[in-house]
Amino acid sequence: MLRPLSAGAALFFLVLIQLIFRLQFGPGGVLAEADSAKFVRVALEGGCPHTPLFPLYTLLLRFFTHFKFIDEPGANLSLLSAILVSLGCVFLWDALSRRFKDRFFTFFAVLAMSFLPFIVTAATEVTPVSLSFCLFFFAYAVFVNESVPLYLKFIPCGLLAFHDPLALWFFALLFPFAALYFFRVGKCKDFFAGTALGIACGLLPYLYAVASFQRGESCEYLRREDFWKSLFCAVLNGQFWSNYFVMPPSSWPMRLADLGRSFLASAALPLFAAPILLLGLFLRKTERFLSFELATFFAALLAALLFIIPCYVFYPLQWFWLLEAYLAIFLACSFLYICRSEAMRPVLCPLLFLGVLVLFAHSFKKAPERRNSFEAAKLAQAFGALTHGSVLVTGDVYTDGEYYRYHLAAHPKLVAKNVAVMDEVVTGKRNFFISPVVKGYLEEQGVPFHLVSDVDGLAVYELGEKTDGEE
Amino acid sequence: MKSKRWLFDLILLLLLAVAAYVSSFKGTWQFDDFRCIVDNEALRSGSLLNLWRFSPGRFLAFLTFWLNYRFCALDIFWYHLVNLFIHILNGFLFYWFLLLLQGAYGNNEEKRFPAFMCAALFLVHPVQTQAVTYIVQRLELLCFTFMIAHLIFLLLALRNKLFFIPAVLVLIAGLFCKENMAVAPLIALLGFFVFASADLKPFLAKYKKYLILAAAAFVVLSLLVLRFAGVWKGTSFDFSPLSRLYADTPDIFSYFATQFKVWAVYLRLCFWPFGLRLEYDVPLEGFASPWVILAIVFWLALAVFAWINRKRWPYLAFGLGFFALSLAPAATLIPNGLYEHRLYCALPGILIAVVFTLFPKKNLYNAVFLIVVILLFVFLSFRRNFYWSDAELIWRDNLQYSPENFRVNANVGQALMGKERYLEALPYLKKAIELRPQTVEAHYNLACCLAGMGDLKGAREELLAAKKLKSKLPEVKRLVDEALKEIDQALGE
Repeated sequence: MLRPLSAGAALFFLVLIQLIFRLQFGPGGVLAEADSAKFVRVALEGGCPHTPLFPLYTLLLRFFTHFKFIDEPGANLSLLSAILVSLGCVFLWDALSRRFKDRFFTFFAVLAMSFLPFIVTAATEVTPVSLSFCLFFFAYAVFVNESVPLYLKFIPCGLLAFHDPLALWFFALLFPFAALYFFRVGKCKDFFAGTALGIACGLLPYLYAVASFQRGESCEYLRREDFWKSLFCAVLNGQFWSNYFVMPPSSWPMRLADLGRSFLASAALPLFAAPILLLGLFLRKTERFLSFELATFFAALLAALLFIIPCYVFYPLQWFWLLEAYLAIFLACSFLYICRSEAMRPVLCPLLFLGVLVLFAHSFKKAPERRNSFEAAKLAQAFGALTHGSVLVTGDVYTDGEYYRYHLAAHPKLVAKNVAVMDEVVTGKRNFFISPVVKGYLEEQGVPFHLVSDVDGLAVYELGEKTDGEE
Repeated sequence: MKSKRWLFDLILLLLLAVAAYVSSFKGTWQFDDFRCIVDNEALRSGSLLNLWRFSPGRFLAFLTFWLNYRFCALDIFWYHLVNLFIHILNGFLFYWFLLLLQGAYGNNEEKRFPAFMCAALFLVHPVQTQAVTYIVQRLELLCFTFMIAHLIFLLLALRNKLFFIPAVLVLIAGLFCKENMAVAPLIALLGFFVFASADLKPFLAKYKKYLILAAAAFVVLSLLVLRFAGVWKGTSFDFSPLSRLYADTPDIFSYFATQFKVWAVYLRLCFWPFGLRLEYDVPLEGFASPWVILAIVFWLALAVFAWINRKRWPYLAFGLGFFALSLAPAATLIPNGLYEHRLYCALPGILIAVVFTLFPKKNLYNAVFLIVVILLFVFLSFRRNFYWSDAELIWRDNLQYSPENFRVNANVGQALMGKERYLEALPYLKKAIELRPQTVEAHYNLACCLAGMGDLKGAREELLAAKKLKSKLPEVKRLVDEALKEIDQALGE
């Protein structure tokens, strides 16, 4: 399906992204990023990550465990992210170059996009993968390649829509427009059949995963009624803080503020992108529209900036990847814009190339800094070298508070439970780092924990009451 | 020349089936084989009347066991041979059916290709090993024989009405093999509807007589359902021990809800026949369960897709309908577990849907892909059959998937006891009791094991514990009493 030149581009992006991937690693092959460890655990041992379970991604991860490119299993699995991102870039390049007929600028657009997944390439995480790979692939299948049979386009759409709530928003917006379009062209039945096929394909990973490996203690919460609430929140918020609503809130204004922030920050980009793509779908035959399409996209991105920058400033831990993502998309779109606008080239070209260079330099400069700043690195110092195959988890307890509450209720005799990884089988340790935010949360909940060590100002706690021996 | 090609296809199918099942002859008696064949007094007595009393609803299938027993007693080789023969015959009939369905008689290369591939996949699919190698599942094999024969005669009846007579006869014969046969007329109706006519009125007018027949069959099915559910107790049907798996079933709605998930597992087995086992852990869930809702949406979406495209891809609609209808009797309301042999009659539906929709034409890519899959399946079936050679092997294999399953632990223990490896059996039997302390059979088995080890006092305690519990089966109670007497005597001496 890809043209020969795309194969060369694929190789290029693969090498580039691998380079970024390698630079991201923390010392000693420790993997520590958001929910990475949870996904690694599910891939290696089965069980459930948090809602909405991401069965397609966990299936891919489980499949990838059969390939051992790197000794450390967690790092090996995060390599999948790098490969997926490379593929995403290739698909994007192929799609854009078909559309814009200007390979030079589209190449730079995609190059800019390849810096988007700074965290994506290093973490076993689902959201960045969804953003970079799935949506691009979707755009490729639906909007660009006319030769793809109609029903085949619905399969990736279905897979993606049910894979990530973020994508579900995108499709939810798309649905009425697409229905109208197919109605106009007299393919109403095909549309509904395709939608049904998409739904069936999208649900298949859930059914397979649940039947084969998503079971055990970590999945017990699925049987509780809270699951529906958390799933609802997952869809509403675009995955992030999916369990927030099921936790007792501190206050209503705080709760609403958190909801608004998470919604806008996480779902903003695809939400703004969706109407543009929809318009493109309707007016795809009108070449003149292309400039308008891009200009609108610019406006949307500028509007998104209003939400993203504050998020980046006030919540660096949670949203640290958003600004780079935004910049990368902005640059990419600018390149595409100058594909259409001859007049703007002399002005925009130098600026854009400079932007790419800055992004490139920023990425490489930031890499070691980030690597060292990861909590896992400090934890590794605190606990000594990790044994082979171990994975350290550095929190995101906030999103997993529901798990913790459940486990504490179900196993009252359990001294400690690392809720992010959900058991101590993987780490072999029951120690548990908590950030000040999480500490506050745990105190509020009345969850017992005590200080174990304090290295470089980083407090390490253990859940449960302090035993006599430790006194 | 034409007939030679046809013959060549059959020989190839035969060779593939033999290659996949040559290892099945090592298979031993397993599980229900003992109750239905080895320890079956009705077979031993030689009286057909006794056989009828044993299982009137499946008399014809048991008649084949009776014949096997008359001619070669309990020599298992011949039982396997008959099973394999029926399986190959089914493959041939399926091939013929697909040719007829396409309106071809073996002389059209384009039409032969998907028909042959479907038949080959049917013969060598690893999930079929349970139906073929597990002797007592000859019931499924024969049910499919009559089901496909019924469909063939109906297709022939479109040319000559006289074929309606054998169609009805095989339908009746099939009903005396397994109750699932009752859905055969419904499958035929679906076929007529999908292939013959899209307009319902002329269709109904044309097939009025046949619809009456189908309705009658449906009544039979409904009565059987009621009988299974215990509402209609007209006959003394002996519940299979398999149904005891669902002794804890809280209510029929939970069971019904869970079946949507069970169907998804069946579908998975059709496409991904790895990790085959005797027992699948599918916990019961209600309609509020997220997985049940997802599964319902999945099946509805698939049905909508197939229905909208029934004219474009009639084989897809027919195949999925075939699959659903064939599974319906065993996996809807009737309390039964998830077993691979239930797929025997349903798998052809999936094969029709997939092969005729995705690989209908004879070209290099399609041929290479399907041949690779067929050869892989031959290898997997060949390997899987070895597990049936030893009860310990097959249950231990199952244990790795379901370490917390009562029946699996109990059966591993029993298999080890059968080899007089009592010490090894002990932890499994104890685990079984731990998982279901209220099961009389588990205590009885542990008592047998302890007695085998010489711990008569321990065995007595277990038997006393078993005696306190209630068993649904009177013979179990009798066995416990007898064993207790024997132990008391031995302790007295």
